Amino acid sequence: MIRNNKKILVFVSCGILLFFASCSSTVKYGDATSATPISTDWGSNDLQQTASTMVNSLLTFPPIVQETKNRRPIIEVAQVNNKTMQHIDTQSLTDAIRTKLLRSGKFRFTDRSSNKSTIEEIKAQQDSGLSNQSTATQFGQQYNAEYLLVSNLSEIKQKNDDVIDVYYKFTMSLKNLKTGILEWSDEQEIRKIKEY
Amino acid sequence: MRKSILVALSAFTIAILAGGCSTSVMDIDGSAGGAGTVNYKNSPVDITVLDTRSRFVNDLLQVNMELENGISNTYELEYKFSWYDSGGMEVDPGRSAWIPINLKGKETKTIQGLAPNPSAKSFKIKIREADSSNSVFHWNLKPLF
Repeated sequence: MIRNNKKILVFVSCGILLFFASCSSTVKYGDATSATPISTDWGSNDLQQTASTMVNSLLTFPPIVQETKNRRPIIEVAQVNNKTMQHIDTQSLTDAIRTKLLRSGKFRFTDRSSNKSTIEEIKAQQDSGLSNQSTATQFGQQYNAEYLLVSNLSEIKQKNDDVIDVYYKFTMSLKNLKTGILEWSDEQEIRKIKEY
Repeated sequence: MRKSILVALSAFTIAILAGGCSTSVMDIDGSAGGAGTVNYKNSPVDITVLDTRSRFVNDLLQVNMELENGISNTYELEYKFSWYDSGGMEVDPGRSAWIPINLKGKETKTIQGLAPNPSAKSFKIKIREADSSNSVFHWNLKPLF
């Protein structure tokens, strides 16, 4: 009986050792486009899905197709209004949308977030005395945005002992700055469920 | 009493070791030359492509594909589009994300993709089962191709 117990003990110990050995930390590259969710928190695939849906919707909306047929309108992206309880880097979401729209060749963008460094550069060109003034950029020459991309991200979370259910809604609109009219709007809904 | 604890521990250990190995991913490939029909290969996943349409919207290639789940169980799938220019070079390789899609038993759903820029003239669609390593069902699936 004692002998048997010893055998089982050795077996269990080996198993536990093997398990912990398999848990030793390793580092590897993962798929940046993977759709496998790890938690109900806002994740990378949610960002990619949302950016893709918004861009596809905007680029195929008939009045926008008409507007971008012969010219590339200029857009400024406003900061996302994050109404969720999570700390989300919403700029990475709008950056993804801006990059996709730019790469479609249908729009151009202004970028107010880099204005500080732009002013520093123009001042340096004009005041440092190092560069040829005939090639120095002058203030007041930049183009203004015709449209503003505004967006909201909200969440509704429900949970009980067995399930956590999180519903995300991202809403984006394109506002004509001259007329104040919303020219386009769309929503992306994502639902993530964790079952225990 | 002591023996039963040891047996329970053994079972726990085996379960953990077995669970850690149960990853299985399957693919169904779909491809098309130009904006024509899609040729898809049969796979152990019983998904049928009912209809494929493509058109140019705003110079951008748009693709619509209607999928049908042939069985009564729910399939948790992921799909992604790849886009190719007229020379067959992939446009923005590795950029498109896997999009999750759930097909309930016998359900029909449409997936849609839009090319990232006007240089895309043809496309390829890849569909695979979502990675759900806790699912026992995956142990019964045959490897693809």
